Amino acid sequence: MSNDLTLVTKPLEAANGLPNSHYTDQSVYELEKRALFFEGWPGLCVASEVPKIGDAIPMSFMGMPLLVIRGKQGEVQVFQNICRHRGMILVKEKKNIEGAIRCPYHSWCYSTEGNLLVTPHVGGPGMNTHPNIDKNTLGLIKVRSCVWRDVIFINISGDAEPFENIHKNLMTRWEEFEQPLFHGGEDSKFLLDVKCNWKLAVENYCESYHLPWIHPGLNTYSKLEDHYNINEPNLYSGQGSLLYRQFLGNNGAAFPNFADLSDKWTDGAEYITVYPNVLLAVQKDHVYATILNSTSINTTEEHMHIYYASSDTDPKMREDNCMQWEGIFIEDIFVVEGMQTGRQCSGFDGGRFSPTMDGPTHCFHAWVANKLLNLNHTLSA
Amino acid sequence: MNKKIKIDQLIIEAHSKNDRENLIKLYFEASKLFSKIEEISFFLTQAYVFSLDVGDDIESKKLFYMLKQHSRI
Repeated sequence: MSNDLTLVTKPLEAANGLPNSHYTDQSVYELEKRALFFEGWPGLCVASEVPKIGDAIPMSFMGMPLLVIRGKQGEVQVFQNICRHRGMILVKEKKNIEGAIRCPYHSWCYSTEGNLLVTPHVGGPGMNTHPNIDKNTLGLIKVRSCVWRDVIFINISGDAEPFENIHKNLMTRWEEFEQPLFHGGEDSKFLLDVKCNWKLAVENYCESYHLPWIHPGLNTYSKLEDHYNINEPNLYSGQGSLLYRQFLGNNGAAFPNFADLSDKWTDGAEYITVYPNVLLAVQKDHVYATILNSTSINTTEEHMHIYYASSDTDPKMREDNCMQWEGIFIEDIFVVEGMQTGRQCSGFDGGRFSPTMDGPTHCFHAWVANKLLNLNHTLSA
Repeated sequence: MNKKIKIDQLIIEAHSKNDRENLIKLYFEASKLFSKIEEISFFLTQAYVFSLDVGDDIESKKLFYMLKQHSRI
């Protein structure tokens, strides 16, 4: 079957989906890692995971060890999680850094802002300096980062256009939700391990076509015709609902709504993927962010975090709401895993899209294809 | 028991328990048992690193200036 990406970037009506190799071929995975993740603005985790000053989490981001830390001024920073001396991993488990980040190998110490503080015995026993060791040039390697809607987005290459510029359109679209978000805590997050390439989770999230079949429970109150496609080429895609039904507790109680929302959001909700890997939702009473962590070409972690308009919400309701969402995400697992298995069929040509229903998936595929075509152009230049 | 041997044992014990506060004290005490500047600085450095590790600003400032006095940092 053809690996010609120009078939993917054709208009929706004539396009094919991404070829099998984008789900099964390690060399393509490596190209995507560079073009879509390292040179773009993927989500890493959420800032609520490091609530206190000094909180630090080691992460593996597509195989690269990173360290997320809340510095002394309260700002969230991301570093490559290695000592500048011998490349030793600095922090192995989630912890609170009380003082310095000390390398467990030769005890080079760094501040939580990444500055190299001391290089013990570097000039011999008891001599902590050496003319060739310039501490000012040997701080931790900082990863460019930006926090939006509590999600920490990173740009490994360091040269992408600023996040705020790229996503101005979406920020404007959801301007009304630029309000304090309160993470519901331990009862408002979950993790699902899914045996599929990360893109299949994106594709499934973007479209509403599957709702009547995979989520019949949702369909009883939010029918297919109540949904619309969201396509912003090269930026994001997803779906919207014109009939959002608010979650209610056993006694009929509702979560408080976000303040001063326009009428659009009384019954409306939107579900959008910020490319490449952040699934976001806005609804009048709660929002969520799901970050897809690609752990291999055919395994993905889905990290879900739910936020409310107030810090004072009912724990039982939060727990029930989280369970409801987890149930919906679980309903999708057999689909994305089934499509991953299907990518082993040599006859599959990327698939034919519904010109009416599959716009958001095509929008995502075209973004992937264009990024890879640009990378190939760069590599061959 | 020889003071140096005794403190050496205490340091090993503190390392085994990852008792960093105690290591600051013990390495500092050990520095007093030596006379050569290289030896003194070695132990002061050890104490200084653990003071940074635990975020003991008072101790780390004190140890930093002691090492600075000897042009060791």
